[in-house]
Amino acid sequence: MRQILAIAGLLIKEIFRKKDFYVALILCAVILFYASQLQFYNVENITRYLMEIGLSLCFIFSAVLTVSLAARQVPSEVQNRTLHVLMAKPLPRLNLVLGKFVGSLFAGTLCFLVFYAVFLFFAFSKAHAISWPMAGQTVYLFFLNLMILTAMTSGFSYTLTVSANVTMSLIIYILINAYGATLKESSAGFFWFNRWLAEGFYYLMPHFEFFDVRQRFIHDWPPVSNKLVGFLTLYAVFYSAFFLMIGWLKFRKKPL
Amino acid sequence: MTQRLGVVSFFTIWLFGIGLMAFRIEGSLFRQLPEAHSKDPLTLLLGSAKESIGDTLFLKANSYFHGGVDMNLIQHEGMEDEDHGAEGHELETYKKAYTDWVYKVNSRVKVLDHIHLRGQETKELLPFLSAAVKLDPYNVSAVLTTAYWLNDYFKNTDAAIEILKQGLKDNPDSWEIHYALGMNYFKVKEKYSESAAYFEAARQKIDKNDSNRKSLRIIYYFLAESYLKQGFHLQALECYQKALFGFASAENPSLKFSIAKKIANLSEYK
Amino acid sequence: MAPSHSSVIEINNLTVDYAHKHALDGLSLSVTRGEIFGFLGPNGAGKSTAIKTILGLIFPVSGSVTLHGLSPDNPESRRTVGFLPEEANYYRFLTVVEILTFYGTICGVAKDAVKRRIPRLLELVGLSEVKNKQVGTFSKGMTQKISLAQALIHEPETLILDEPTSGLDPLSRMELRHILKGLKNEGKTIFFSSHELSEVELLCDSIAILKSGRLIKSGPIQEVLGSGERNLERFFVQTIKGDGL
Repeated sequence: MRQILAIAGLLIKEIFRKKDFYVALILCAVILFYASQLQFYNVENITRYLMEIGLSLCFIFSAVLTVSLAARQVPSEVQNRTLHVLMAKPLPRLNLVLGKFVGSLFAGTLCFLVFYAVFLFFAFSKAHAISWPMAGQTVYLFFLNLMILTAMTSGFSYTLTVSANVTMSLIIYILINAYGATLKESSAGFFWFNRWLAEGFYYLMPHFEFFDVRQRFIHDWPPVSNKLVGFLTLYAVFYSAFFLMIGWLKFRKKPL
Repeated sequence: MTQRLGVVSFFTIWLFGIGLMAFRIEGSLFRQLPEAHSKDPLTLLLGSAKESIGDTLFLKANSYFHGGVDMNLIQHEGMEDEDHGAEGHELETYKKAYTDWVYKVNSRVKVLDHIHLRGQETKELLPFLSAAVKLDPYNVSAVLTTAYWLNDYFKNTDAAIEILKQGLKDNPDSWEIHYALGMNYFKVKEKYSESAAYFEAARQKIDKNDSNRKSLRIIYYFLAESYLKQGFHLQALECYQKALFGFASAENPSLKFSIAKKIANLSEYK
Repeated sequence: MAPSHSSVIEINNLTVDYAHKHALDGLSLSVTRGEIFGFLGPNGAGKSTAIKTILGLIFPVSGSVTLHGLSPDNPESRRTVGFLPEEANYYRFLTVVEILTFYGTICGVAKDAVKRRIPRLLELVGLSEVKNKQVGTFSKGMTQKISLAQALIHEPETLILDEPTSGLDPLSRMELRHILKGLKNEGKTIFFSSHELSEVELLCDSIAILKSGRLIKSGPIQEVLGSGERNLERFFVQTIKGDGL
């Protein structure tokens, strides 16, 4: 466990010592500041659009930073020859896989919390009343969302180059978020083979949109039930384990 | 490595080819933009995606009006419901009859209940409507909806008229925008010569088929009212008569009677 | 815990493939506890391949390797082994202290023990002045010193060094020789590959000469040199050339 946490700590240091996070943070703050100053036909106290923009920025920036961090871990260790030094220690390969995953996930979650704090600041500045249970649930479900995304990117990183991995992970993430819920319905008119493939993807792919409760938060709906949260937790753990297993199976006998 | 790339390339091309067989590319996607808009910075930056984004924002405004409901997860049926009155332009919604577990989870996570924003809450639509109109000026529904909310809820008729006039520049053949301008000048501004001009333009541009019968009747009616307010009795009489032709036999007898009475009163000016 | 064994590294008939050819072909050798073992050969002989196989970084086609009596597949075999790679890099965003703390934790050294050892190690390798600097700005010589420090952080019984003096100036080489002699006096086993035959001659108890993945000669240095030849460099060249080069 100490080894896993040591490797995870390395990634957290990495993300906060490089400039990517700070560029994203400044961009987030600037965009939110600009958006909060907008006037629409002299009507005062319009807040939900700001919530929409703020939450979207938090999600997007966190996802991008996490994917780029997770994708470059193993390839850059191989390229920079830091992997030989590390694997020459009494470190099981599984612990390396888990450490990289845990580190990427925690680093991404910390980034999200910082962006989220900036978003809450601007939301309060517009005098929007926040539902704290819903705010907390949004954070937790996004964490689960990030868990699957990180595991997927981490798993791919043992096979793909950095750029291929980042591209593929983000494309999959965006497409599933946008179309995952309606893929089965959309494929009803397809050629039979395509329909069969689409339905297969529909049931097998990780449904990232399950974890998106932004509209509930923005429009003051109550949180989803604890039973559903429990199911989503198990769902996220299952898919994370699946992607990590793929990565580990690829890595465990890989000559370094 | 080269072998693996070859296999991957083959499958990619094969899947792409199969995918192309299932889709048809719509010719209307490649329509030519008027020159004025092709110089607009947003058009230069986003190209035809600008209008798609505008349409998406308009749908977002619709979703916001219904409390954040996820439109993809609900099914629409053309029904009247008491929330929207006899015109019934809105639709009753209910969950789709899917039984797969993915839909069930999504239906519990997303917003599916049917509510409407009321009163001052409707201000939350304005950013999306404003952006939708800017990005897709050809979306007549977006122009009309924005003008409607500004005028009816926020009493900002000047802003509504400005948006409608800009919408008219981009959609000169839209009878709906002409009609909306006419109504704003008639009901709010009480400028009857302007309203008459817009109603007349709407009358000329509307397709005179059976589906527009009611709308044409309403245009004639308000055109008649505009003429009457200006003292143009003959023109008003002519328009009331044409409005009367727009009723089906048992339709709205009280309104029919009212128009008939006005015709009778104006008969002396023949 | 590794069983007590007079042979620290035992290689039997090892064959390793790399780029569709035998990088190592039937290699057999043994490294005894407490000795300094020199591993020699021209470029491409298979020295680094052998070291990577001993450490479990690559996998043999046939034959066996044991490290402290355990298979390299078992991470515990490396519990008391320190490795100094030929061309190492370290995480550029970490300071020297953070790197040593990280590797100490990976090796299972307790937190307070790591804290105690770091100043001593930094003094030994001459990096005390720059301990809180990020290593991204370090020269090759300073990076090599970090390599030695991280190899020693967990006080290993065995050191495996791949070209340890490569890129070092003469003064640094002398310092390293002094350190290695000191470690030998502490009873540590040192296995290193090198092109610097003068270093090997000064330090090693036993040597092995490798060419094209095959072992040419191995054993105590005096036995390998024989009664006639006293110069290792001349002997090495003759051995390599004489074997059909």
